[in-house]
Amino acid sequence: MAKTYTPIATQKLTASAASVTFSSINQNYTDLRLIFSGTSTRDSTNDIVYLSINGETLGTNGRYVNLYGYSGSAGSGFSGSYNVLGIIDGATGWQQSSGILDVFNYSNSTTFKTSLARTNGSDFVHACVNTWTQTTAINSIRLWTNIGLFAAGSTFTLYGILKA
Amino acid sequence: MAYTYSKIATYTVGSGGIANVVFLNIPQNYSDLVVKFSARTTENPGASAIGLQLNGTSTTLTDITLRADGSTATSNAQTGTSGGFGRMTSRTGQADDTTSSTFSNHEVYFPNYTSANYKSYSVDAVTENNATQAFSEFHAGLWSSTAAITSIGFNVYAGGGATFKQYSTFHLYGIKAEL
Repeated sequence: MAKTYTPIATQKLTASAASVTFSSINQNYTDLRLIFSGTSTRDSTNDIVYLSINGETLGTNGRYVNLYGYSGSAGSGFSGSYNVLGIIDGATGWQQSSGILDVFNYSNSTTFKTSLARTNGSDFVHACVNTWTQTTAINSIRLWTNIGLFAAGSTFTLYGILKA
Repeated sequence: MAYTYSKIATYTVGSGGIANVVFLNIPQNYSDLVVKFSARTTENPGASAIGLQLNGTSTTLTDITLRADGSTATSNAQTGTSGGFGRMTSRTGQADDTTSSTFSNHEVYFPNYTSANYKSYSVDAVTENNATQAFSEFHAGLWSSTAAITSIGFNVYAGGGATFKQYSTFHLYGIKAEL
C-alpha cells in the first residue's frame, strides 16, 4: 500500500530567523501541507506571515481574500498583490500560534495555484485563500514575517500528500 | 514502512448515547494530533457548544471564535468551564431539532502536543440543516499549560444533561514529522 502522507522536511529554529524556506520540493506528490507552530519576536504585537512562491518577492504574482476574527469583530480583506500564511502572535511568555497551509495541485504546469491557510493566536483567528497567478509548478515555499523574526523554537513541517 | 498519518483510536457512540468521549493514554511519539469527529446531540431545542477537556482539566482553555450562521459573521473571545470541560466551539453541537440524520463535522488539530510550550490548536467545524440557519466556525484555541497532552475529551458543553447521539463517531490520529 502506498504511503499517502509523507514528511518532506522539518525545520525547528534554534535561533530566531527572518524567514524559512523549503526549496527543491519533490514534484511527485499531489498536494502539499505545511504545519507551523511558534511565534514572532515582535514584542507583544501580532505579526503578519507572508508567503512567497518560487523565490518571488512581495507584490509579484499573489492575491488573497481573508476572513478573520479579532478583538470581538469579524472582518474580511483582499490584496491583489501578495500571498499570506496569516497572522501570528508576538512572543510573550509561553504564548504560541499555530498554522496550517494546504497547497493544491502544486506540480501542474497549466493552472494558477490555490492554497488555503489557517492561523490561530491568543486574540485572533484567521482564514485565507491565496492564488498564485502563475502556471509554473511550485518548487519552493518561503515564509517570512513582516516586522519581527520567527522566534527560536518555532517549528515548520512540510508534508507531501499523494492521491493514490 | 512507517506511516506518517496513523489512526490511534476510534469511538462510535452506541444506542443510548454518551455524555462525553475521552481519548486516554495518548502515545507521546507523534509530532501532531488530529481529532476528526461527526456528532449529533440530544439537545432540543438549541444549538449547543462542544466542550473540550485536556489532561482532565479545563481551567486554562481560551478560545477565539469566528462564526457564520447563514446571515451574519461574528467573532468573540470565549472562556468558561462547565462540568470539567471548557468551551471549544459555540454552536456546532448539531442539535436534535435540525434535519434528521444530519451530523456536524469537526477537525481539531494540535501541533507539537508534547512540547513544553503552551498549546495552540485549531478547530474547523460545520453543522448541517435544511433550513435558513446552520453554523460554520473557525476557532483559535489555546491551552495555557506546558504539560504534554495525554488525554483529550469532548462533551456537549453546558448542555444540561444532553449527550452525543448514537452513530456519532470520533477518530484520533497521530502525525509523525520526523523523516
